[in-house]
Formats: sequence, C-alpha cells, structure tokens
Amino acid sequence: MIEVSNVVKSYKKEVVLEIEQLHIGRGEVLGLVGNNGAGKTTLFSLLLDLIKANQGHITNKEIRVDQSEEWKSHTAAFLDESFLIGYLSPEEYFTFIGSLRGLNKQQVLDFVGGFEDFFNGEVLNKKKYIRDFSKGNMKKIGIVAAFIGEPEIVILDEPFANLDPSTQIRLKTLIQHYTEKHNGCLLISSHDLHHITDVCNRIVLLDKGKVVKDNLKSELTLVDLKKYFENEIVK
Amino acid sequence: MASIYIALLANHFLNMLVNNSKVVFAVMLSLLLGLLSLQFYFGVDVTPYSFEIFAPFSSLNPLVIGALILWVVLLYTLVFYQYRSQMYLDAGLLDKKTKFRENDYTFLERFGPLAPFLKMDLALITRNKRSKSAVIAGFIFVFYGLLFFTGAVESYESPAWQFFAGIFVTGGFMFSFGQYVPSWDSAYYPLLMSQNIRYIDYLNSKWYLVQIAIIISTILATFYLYLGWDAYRYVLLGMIYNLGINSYMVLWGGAFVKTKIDLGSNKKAFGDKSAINYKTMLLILPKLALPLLIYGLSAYYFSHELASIAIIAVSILGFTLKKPVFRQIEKVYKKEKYTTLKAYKS
Repeated sequence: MIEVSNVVKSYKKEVVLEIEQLHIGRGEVLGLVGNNGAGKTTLFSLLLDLIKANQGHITNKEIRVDQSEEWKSHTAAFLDESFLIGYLSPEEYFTFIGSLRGLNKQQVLDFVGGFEDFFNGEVLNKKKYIRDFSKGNMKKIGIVAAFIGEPEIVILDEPFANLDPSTQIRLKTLIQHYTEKHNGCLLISSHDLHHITDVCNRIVLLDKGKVVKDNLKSELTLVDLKKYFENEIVK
Repeated sequence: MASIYIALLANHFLNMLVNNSKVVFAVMLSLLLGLLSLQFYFGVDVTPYSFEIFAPFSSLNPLVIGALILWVVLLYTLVFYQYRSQMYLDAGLLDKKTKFRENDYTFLERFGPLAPFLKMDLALITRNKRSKSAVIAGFIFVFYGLLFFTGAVESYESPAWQFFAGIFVTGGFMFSFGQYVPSWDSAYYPLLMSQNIRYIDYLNSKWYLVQIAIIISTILATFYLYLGWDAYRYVLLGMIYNLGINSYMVLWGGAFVKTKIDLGSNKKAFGDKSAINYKTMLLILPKLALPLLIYGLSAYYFSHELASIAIIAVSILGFTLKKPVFRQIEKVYKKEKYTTLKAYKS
C-alpha cells in the first residue's frame, strides 16, 4: 500500500533519513523502533507530506503524496498535540473529524461510544475543552480520532507513551481488534519493545536514519531486539 | 523633579495593576472615557482641574511630595498583594481552566459542506482570548467614523477620507481577523494539512465569516444616520466595497503571513511586525489605495453620485472574480505549505 523509494531527508547537509526501499503491504501492522533521532517521526511526517523529501518520493496506494491529495481520504494519523484542536470538546472534535470523513454526528458518537472502555470514563461527556485534559487523555482522544471513519491506513507516533499501564493494555487490544477486522495497514512507532513485539507483525529498526533491521515478527523476537540495543550501549 | 520621579513610579505600579486586573482596567478606561465625553459633549473643560492637581508637582512643597509618596505606597501594597496571591503555581494553573460552554451551532447546517468549518471558526472566535480581541477591535472600528463624519478633524473632510472611514467602520473585523487567516489555525495546522480538507471549503468558510461580520458592523453603524444620510452613504459604500473586493483581498494577504498565533494570549494582538512583508504591503493597494483613488477622483472631477456608482460597479466586478482569486490563494497555500508548517512549529 505504501512504497518508499530512495527517500533522503536532510537538514543543512545532515542526513536524518535515508531509505532506499520500503514496501508496506495490506494487513501489516508495522512497528517502527529506534532511539531518539533515528528518524521515526521524520518518516511519518514524510508519509503525511508535512515535510518535503530532498530526494525520492513516497506513494500511498499508487498516489504520490507530494503531488496529489487523494491519499488523504483513506489515511489518518495522530503524531502529536498539533493534531488536536484545543478549544473544542472531545465530542465536537470527533464530530469535526467525522464530518471530514463523511460521517454525521450520530454515526460519530456511536463510533466513539464504542471506546468508552479505552477512555476509562475520563473523556466523554466531561464538558471540558481538549486543552484542559491531561496529556494522557489528550493522547486517547487523538488515537481514537485517527480511527474514525475506519481509514485504511492509520499512523500513530508513540501511542503508548504517556498512557497509564491499563490503558496501554487496552490500546493493545484495540489495535489487535482493529487489524483483525480491517485489511488495511497500521504504522506504529514506539520506544517500548514489549508493546511493539506484542502488537506488530513486522518490525523495522531504524538507526541514524537508516533501516538496520526489517523482519517479520516470527524472525525477530523481543530477545533479538533487546540484544541489539544492549550492544548499542556497549559500543 | 523629585515629584515627577515619584509620579512616574506611581504610574509604573498603576500600569502593573491595569495589566493584571480587568477591574482596574475597566475603571481606568471608563474614567478616561468619562472625562473625555464630559469635555466633548457637555463642554466641561477638565483641564483647569487637572492643572490644579498637577501644577504643584513642580514645586518642592513637602505636602505634595508626602501625598505622592503615600499614593506610591498604596499602589505598591496593592501590586504586592496581587502578585502574592498569584505566587503559587497551582493557583496559577487552576485559573487557566476555562469554563465550558455548550454551543448549539445547528443553525449553521444550512451551509452544507462548509458547516463543519464555520462551527469550528465560531468556537475559535468565542473561546479564545486572542480571537476575542479581534472581535473587540472590529467593534471599536465601528466608532472610528466619529473622527471623520463629525468634522472633528478638518483634514478628514475630503470625500476620499470619508470613504476611507466607511471602509474601516464596516471592515474592522475583516482586517483584524482576515489578515491572520490561516494563522488562527496554526496550533493544529498539521492536522488540517493531513485531513481530507479542500482548501476551497476552508477559504470559503472564512470568507463567509468575514462577510457576516461586515454586515453586522454595517447594522451596528446605523447610528451614523444621526449625522445625516451623507455619512451613512459612506458606510454603505464601504460595506459594498468590503463585501465585493476586500473580503478576499484580506484572505489573500493572510496567506503570506506566517505568524504562529498563541490563541490563549493577547500578546501582539494589535499589530505584529512579522505580519508585514512586501507581499502584504502590495495587497494594501487594492484594499485601500485603489478605492480611495477611484472615489476621490471621480467625486472631484464629476459628482458624488458617479463616484458611488463607480465603487458599486467595481465591487460587483470584484464579486464575479471571486473564483479566480480563490484559485490564486489556493496556489499560495500549496506553494507555501512546507514553510508555513515549519513556521507554525517553531
């Protein structure tokens, strides 16, 4: 579904991302791991055409993301708080996102109502603006909004960070349910190797902007990943 | 000297109070407005009284200096207690939470595909400090015409200046809000850029908002009828020109402005250096210079009737050019997308 070809992104001659070829297919739950500065968020920003690649290009269902906007109708993302509208209530925000994806208010409310468990009763009907919620709850709001309208491709940057342990477990279930039901693809980045190996069926390891490992989960286990990062420390 | 120094000190504390408290600000403002209106409407000259108060400052009368010192001490204590009450971090954070207001925007449904954007814009305007100041600026501009139509300033009595007033009376909100589109949405611009949003819908919703504001300002300005039909005629002409041409000219200029706006703060609400660049300056020509020239010249060489007709004709022409202009703005948005995103991020 997504094809990254010969992409180079650099800031002032310093190359931050360099990927020759990366193909992401249907049904994949791709986990992106790597230390800070490995290029995870840069890759996601390129996929969403929020920054411009110095070389190469990315296609999303055969559509070049930097040339057409057609890919936006089947792609959704939550990278950070700049994907939230602080002065709206969660319900208003969900309805706004839903209306952009062709859903009416009732459909949206029905959909997000299904996440009451994930929200842990802390989000809906609170009569509060998003800017007044805690970081963790903001994250929950952003994650759920990304799933509204069931887009084929969902991109989440560090979804596990800032969430309390129970919510992390609920998020894992949510992701597993979603991938069972939909034949799209899901891209997740995380620092947490446990979570990533739990939910993803393919893992890509980035280091200093380059793909170091790219394996199906069956071949690359948690033990291998841990070993890799332990060796990094020794070096 | 000493008393002037002490008076300055007092003003400094007074300033701090005004900045921190809405009540003090309101009191000061109404005091000032009250004195001004006394002078203007009732012919009471307040200057002899103020002279009485301030004249002794130049002497070294110990009584005066004593009174001043007392005044400073009083203000100082007020400021001190005010700051102390805000010292604790949790108290400061507590009052950041804003009261939630449920708004019913269903009446906007009739705008079809634009409805979601208009709802968002209304929430933007009503729930954020910074955008509220844009509304207040627009409201104040409604009274701007008083300077022009009452003959208060002699050099403003030429037809071109009167028309200038008409444009500002009806277009205050248009200028204060429109020049910062899309900066109002800077906090969540990445969201807008990765969602399924057509630029044309986005622009159209802002354009409608500005149109509605122009009409509301015109209605508010009906009181100029007291000053005669002539004054209100300029207001109506201003409205027509704003509706027909300026409403999208302002949006066009805004597309070049890449100022990140912090919605929660009032800083730089009026005038921002980074909002001025040669492109926005260039667009002032059709916004202000052109209509003034058209009106001024045709009123001078022909008649006011012809000048009015000319303005109406140009505005109607402008109205029909909306589509190509919007396409042009869309191009700017697309071309500037990455730099705008970067500017909003930092």
